[in-house]
Amino acid sequence: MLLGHRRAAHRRCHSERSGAMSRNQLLAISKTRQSLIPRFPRDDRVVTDQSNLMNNFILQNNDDSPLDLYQYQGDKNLLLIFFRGAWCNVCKKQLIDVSRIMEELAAQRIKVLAISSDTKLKSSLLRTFLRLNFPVLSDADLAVIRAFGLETEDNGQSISKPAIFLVAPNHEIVYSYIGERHDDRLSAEEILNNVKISLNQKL
Amino acid sequence: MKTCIICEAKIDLDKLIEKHEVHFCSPECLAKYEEKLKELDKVIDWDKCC
Repeated sequence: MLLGHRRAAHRRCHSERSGAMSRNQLLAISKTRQSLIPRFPRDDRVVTDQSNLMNNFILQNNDDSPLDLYQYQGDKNLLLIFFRGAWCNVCKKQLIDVSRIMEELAAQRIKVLAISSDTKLKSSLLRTFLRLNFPVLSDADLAVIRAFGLETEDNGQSISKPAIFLVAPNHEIVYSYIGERHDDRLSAEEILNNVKISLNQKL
Repeated sequence: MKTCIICEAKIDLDKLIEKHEVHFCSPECLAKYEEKLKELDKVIDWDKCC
């Protein structure tokens, strides 16, 4: 379906472990992490194969309506977030982080979509619970996750590696970050900074 | 045809309940969803990760 991409990548380790935390505490952590300084030079971005193009795919929204990726993206940029699952606290923090910068992303003409191998029910509950303002979709058969080369195993279960992809309106993947460990993530500020750099390079 | 997010049954249009941007086949299934939502702090173990 798509891409054979070279995975290099910048990595950053934040091996924070949360104590017993409420949603508000998680939000507070998200805010403090905003102050992290992004440190990714231009050459560090990950590129895909020569074509660099992402093929279209269709997933189901949690209400069963089809979501055609190209249609959803329209003439905007698209930030695809692959996460491990609703049980993963690092994932939840990252999703909350991203939901906080939606206005800044919109200013860059970026739409957001999150995907995991969770069921539709878990995806829907997670989105409602975290009050996320972007779709959280189920790829339970890992069709899309595999297509992006993100399948990995956790306790005998196939899940997605944590990753983000920025796709330009012509469907070219202009930036990606694939976490090699469960806590290998970019902060919201790092994401914002890196997508801005990548979009400027594209111009 | 729409399916219920909880029991995955096909839903007759006249019984369709739309809430939380998903579909339910009955008030009981809606109640189950909202119960899961309330208990999410327990379902998702905030203390443990990965």
